[in-house]
Amino acid sequence: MVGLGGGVFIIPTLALFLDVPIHSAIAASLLAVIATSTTAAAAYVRDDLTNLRLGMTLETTTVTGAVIGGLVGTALSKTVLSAVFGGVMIAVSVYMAVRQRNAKLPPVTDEDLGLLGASYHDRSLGETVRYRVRRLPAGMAASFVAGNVSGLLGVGGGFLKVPVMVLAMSIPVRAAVSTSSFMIGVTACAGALVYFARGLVDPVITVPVVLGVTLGAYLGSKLAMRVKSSVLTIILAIVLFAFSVQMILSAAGIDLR
Amino acid sequence: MTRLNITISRVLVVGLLAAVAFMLAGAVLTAARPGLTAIHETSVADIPRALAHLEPSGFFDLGLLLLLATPVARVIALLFGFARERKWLLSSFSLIVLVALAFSAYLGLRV
Repeated sequence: MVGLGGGVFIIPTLALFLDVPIHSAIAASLLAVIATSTTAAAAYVRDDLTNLRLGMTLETTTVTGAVIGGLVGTALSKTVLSAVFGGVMIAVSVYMAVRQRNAKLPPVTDEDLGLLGASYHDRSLGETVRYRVRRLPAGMAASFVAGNVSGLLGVGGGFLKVPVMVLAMSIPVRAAVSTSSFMIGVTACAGALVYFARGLVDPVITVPVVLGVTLGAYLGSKLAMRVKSSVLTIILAIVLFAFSVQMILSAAGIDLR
Repeated sequence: MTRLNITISRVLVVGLLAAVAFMLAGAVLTAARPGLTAIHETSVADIPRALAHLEPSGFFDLGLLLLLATPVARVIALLFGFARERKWLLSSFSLIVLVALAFSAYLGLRV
């Protein structure tokens, strides 16, 4: 519903509470991320909220990042990574929640939206929103990092992509959420292919998880269409904040169980 | 709404529904045959045999494989969709993503 795949919730739940081996948990999570992404994206794409051109452009770096992330996965300490990203995410979530007040972008009246700009109809506002894409290189770089994290930790990377698209690239939150949903399926697929080929996907764990998240994602995407953008931004900020606190705690060795 | 949007949405829906249908079929078969535990088929080549014997693991594996194939299919659909619209840059981006995905599968198989 907020453009995240749900991997950030699935891995800790499986690994901490159900004692599933970390490799199986990551594999199950990646498959679940594909399922949520596909479910949500199908609805968003049909309603023309997703920026297909932008998604495909950013996917070039994010998938490359995911493959490299999988390769260097063991080279980096997960503790260091968790701590750094936890810190960054707290800053981003606070910033998004605060900035939310004056987040209204100046309306783009310009006929030329550039190669990647687009417009969509916002049902909750009852008007058509048009936007141009700014700072594409920053977005490409962030997508690379998001892909890297995805390959490394088995998450979709949506928690990085959405803030960057909204804050740096001037993309309206609704378009950012749906474009992120669309992209993370492919990002997770890059990682999941490795796990599947190695026979690390355990159907007994993965199938129930996938079926569950598919239903959840379907309901979430229905709901997101009806909620106002401002509410969506606040929910996003809260989710990011909770996630970053959890990451820092686990990096510090504190187990919430 | 453009034609490409409809195509992409359809690819996603069909892939997902097919994957879910096979997984549910596997679940029903497991429930219908108590005492049978689903064992992961390590080889894709085993899937047809497992399906023919109505083994749940075959259905689970095929469902998961279809789920994995869905994002790949929509990258391919975009590759041709952008080419049809003569957006060659975007079409070549799709090709890059496709090659990266193939490389990732190759890496997984090699180790």
